[in-house]
Amino acid sequence: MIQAKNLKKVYSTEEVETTALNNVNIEIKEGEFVAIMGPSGCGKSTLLNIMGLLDNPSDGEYHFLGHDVSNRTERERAQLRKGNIGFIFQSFNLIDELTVFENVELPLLYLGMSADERKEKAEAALERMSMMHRRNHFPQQLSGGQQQRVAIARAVVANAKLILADEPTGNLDSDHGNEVMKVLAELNEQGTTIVMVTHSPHDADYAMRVIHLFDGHVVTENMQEGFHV
Amino acid sequence: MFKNYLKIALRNLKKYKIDSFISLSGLAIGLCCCVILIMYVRFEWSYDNFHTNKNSIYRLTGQTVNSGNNEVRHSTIHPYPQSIALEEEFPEIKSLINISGGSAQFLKDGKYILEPIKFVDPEFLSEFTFPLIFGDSKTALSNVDNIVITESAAKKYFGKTNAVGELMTIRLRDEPKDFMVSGIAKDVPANSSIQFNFLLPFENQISSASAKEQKTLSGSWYIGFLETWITLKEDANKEDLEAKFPAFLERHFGNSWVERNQIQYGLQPLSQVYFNENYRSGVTQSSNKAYSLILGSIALVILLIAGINFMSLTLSRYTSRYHEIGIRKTIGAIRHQIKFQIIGEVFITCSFAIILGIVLAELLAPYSGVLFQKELDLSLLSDPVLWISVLGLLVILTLITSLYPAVKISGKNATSLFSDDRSAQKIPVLIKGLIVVQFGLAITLMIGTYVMKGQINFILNKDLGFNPENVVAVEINSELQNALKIGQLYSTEAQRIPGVLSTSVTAGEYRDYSKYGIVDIGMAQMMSATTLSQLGDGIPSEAVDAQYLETMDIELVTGANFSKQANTFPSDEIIVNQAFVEAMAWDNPIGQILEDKPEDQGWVGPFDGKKVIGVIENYHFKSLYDPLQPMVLQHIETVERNPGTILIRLSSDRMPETISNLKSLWNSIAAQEAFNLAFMDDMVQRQYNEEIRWNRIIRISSMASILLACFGLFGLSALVAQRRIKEIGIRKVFGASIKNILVLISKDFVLLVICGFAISPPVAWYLSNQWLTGFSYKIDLDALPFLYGGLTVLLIALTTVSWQSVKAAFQNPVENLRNE
Repeated sequence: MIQAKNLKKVYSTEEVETTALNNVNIEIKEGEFVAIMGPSGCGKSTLLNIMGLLDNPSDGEYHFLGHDVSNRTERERAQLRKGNIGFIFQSFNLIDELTVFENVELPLLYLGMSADERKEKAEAALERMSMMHRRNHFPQQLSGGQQQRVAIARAVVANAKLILADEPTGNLDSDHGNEVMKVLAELNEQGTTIVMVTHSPHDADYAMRVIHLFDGHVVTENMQEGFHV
Repeated sequence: MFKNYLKIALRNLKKYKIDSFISLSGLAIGLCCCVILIMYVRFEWSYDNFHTNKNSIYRLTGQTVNSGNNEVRHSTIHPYPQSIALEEEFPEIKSLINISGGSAQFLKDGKYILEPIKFVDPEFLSEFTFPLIFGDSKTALSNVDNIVITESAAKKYFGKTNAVGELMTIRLRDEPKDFMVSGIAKDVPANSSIQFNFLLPFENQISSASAKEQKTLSGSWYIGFLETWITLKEDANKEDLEAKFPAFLERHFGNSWVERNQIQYGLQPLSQVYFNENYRSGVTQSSNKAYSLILGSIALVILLIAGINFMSLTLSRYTSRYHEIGIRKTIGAIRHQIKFQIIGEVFITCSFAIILGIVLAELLAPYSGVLFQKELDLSLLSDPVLWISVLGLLVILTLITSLYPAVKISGKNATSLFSDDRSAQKIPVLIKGLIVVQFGLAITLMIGTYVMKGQINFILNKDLGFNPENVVAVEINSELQNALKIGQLYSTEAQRIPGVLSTSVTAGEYRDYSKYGIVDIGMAQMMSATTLSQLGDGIPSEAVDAQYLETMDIELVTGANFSKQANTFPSDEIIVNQAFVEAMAWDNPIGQILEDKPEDQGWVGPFDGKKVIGVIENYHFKSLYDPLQPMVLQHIETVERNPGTILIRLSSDRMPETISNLKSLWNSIAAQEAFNLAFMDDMVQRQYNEEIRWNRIIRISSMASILLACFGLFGLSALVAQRRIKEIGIRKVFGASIKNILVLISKDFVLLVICGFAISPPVAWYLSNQWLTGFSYKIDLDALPFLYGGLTVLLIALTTVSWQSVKAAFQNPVENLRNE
């Protein structure tokens, strides 16, 4: 599903050049659950942004679903992202002005689906995350765990093949964190590929494979015990 | 999708209540002010448009040049025989209408009421569009004993609209006469420069004069008292007719007269009557076109300021929505969808504000008369121009406001939207530019207002050469046969009343018809033709008694006043002013005898052979629009003229009591005559009513624009304070004082206002100078109005910004940081 060869990402300002990723080579197959770990500033989020087609690499190749997407325009990346990739963020990133239902429905709106279809799919996603009873609430009226479940519902509503999660439990207490991890594991069992950036070894235990990054390099790649691709 | 945008737009309005309120209501209020002001400007520009024949109606104008000082004089007043000659000699004239204004006393419930009237030729009703509700326009004024009145006059006098056939008792002169109502005209529209309630056939103007006067009025080519209006035949041309006037003038006035005075006649189209202030007329109203242009510009400035507020607040709010847009991009929104969202949202809020503004304007329009001091009918909603302009405004405002954020934000990629979210703390350059423009405009208006105010104060407080304070003018109907007797008796008796300092009888008609929009101080209004080229085309004079100088507080510079003893004054004595002495270049004026006899004509100037016995200080017998002129005082008993006014100087103590005694005295002497009293200082001030009125309108509009600008500043500073809340928290944790925080937030805005101040003086200076050129007596432009204007606006702006800064500075830093 994902092949990255010699990926490089350099951020430059007038005076400083910062290399966030340096010669990163990664391959992720469909159905995998991969955790990316490493200290702050090691390039985890940058890697996730490139994987999620939010950003282009400075150098190297990146293939997604068989397409070379290393140097696509914003428009092309957006087209490819739609319906294929779902995002989950540490800070949930729900739109405060929209209700739970409207937040979940949003990706379908951008896919141009009809109102009936949107309603059916968004309700199914909310049902799946056990959030139907909160459909008319606004994000601020929910607990952190509930907000993250809504964010997951939004990520899966369009049947995304890949879910990218950036520290999905970072803002949650352990009970709510476990709840979210279980949901992700379930999704993975149902066939969704998941790539998750995390600081937590406990969360990483849910993954099949853990990639360790340090200063923009991949330092180790471990298969977790009991998992086989 | 649109529904989603609408939802977001409405929820955002709700979420950011204060700045939504400020940007929406600011735009709505700005639009409301702008719509009302523009409607008024359109009203001013619509004067006389309703006449069907407006393109073929002209007023005959005359222009003369004073060979002494090359001063150009404009006049609309013409002699009666000239009208007859014009009609006979020029077949291209379809009809010629003589019009003159005057007043008459109308009997109602046993008392006479003074009303302004117009004397007009019968064609007046068929050529001008003043439709009759009852009666026939063609014949209504053909009988000399008929009168046409308006609907409201009919209701006032007869309690009904159809008063055709009713009789009205009117006193034009001494004796009352009955006139039959032959037509009821629809009330004259407010935008008509000719206003009337009563129309009398023109012959009455002449026949109501004394036998001697009748002969002069109907026969003299040198006494003008009427306006000549002309309609041209379809195939006739204005320029062709005008080209024939020089020959006409020479035929009738003689070559030397025309040459000496450089007389020119012209035809003024009806459409130019209202805005041509050169021709001040007793028949038509006029206004200064510059004022409506100024007001129109202020309206646009207000709209611009409100638009800039809306733009800067909307733009600033978008910088705080990077995060939301980042999320939308992450989950699949493409660039044009984001663009469309932003444009759509702005369109929705903008429409909302515009609808609110129009509703507000519609609600306030009926009260706009309070501001404009003119009753006008503003029908907003039925005006297609308004709707087209509003649609245009909606599109322009939406595009200007939304295109910049739409293009800028939609072009960013999602990751940079997330990372820029916290850094969007500074005011964008575009918004800074807008604030500078906004305050530049507001300060320019403020300076202009100060200049206007300064000039008006200067005029009102200028030493006029006479003292109008505590002087009252009691009206005498000079048409009364025993007017002189009444006047002199009243004058003598009034001096016995405690509180009366002195009294004087004058032929001048000092009238305060301000309720009809006419103020006529009537000082030195007699104009006599002269052959003395140093004195221009005529000598203004006034017939007074010996107490005139004392009562009006006019200083005698040299020589003597008229004798105060009855019947002891030789009829050839005159008193002149200093300007007269200068014009004649006399070293020793006392004892000079005027020679005013042309060699080639039998005609003799009225001042020929008169001897100068005294010289008075110059005084402004005309308004300060006109420069000082040579003038002459004659004794009233030597010129066989009836008095028009008794002037009384009162002590400032117990004035109401003195006035009530004056009224009782009047009723005991002339019980059948109404007692009309006017204050001289009020009349002087009312000469500048139009300036005072416009100054008020412009001052209020300028204040509105400054408040609107500050309204925007308030919203923007709130937004900036809110966005810098974390920075403020950190600064406070590390020791910043309240003062430091105040300076931190305010300094950027204050700098912008100062930049605005820097660009305004040249514009304000140019505009103020343009306006001041209209006055003969004016203030010198110094730095003060500029300083006041800048400081006033700076102070208001500073107060506005500090409100938010103080709020931010006093917040608990721990809370600030936690909120982040």
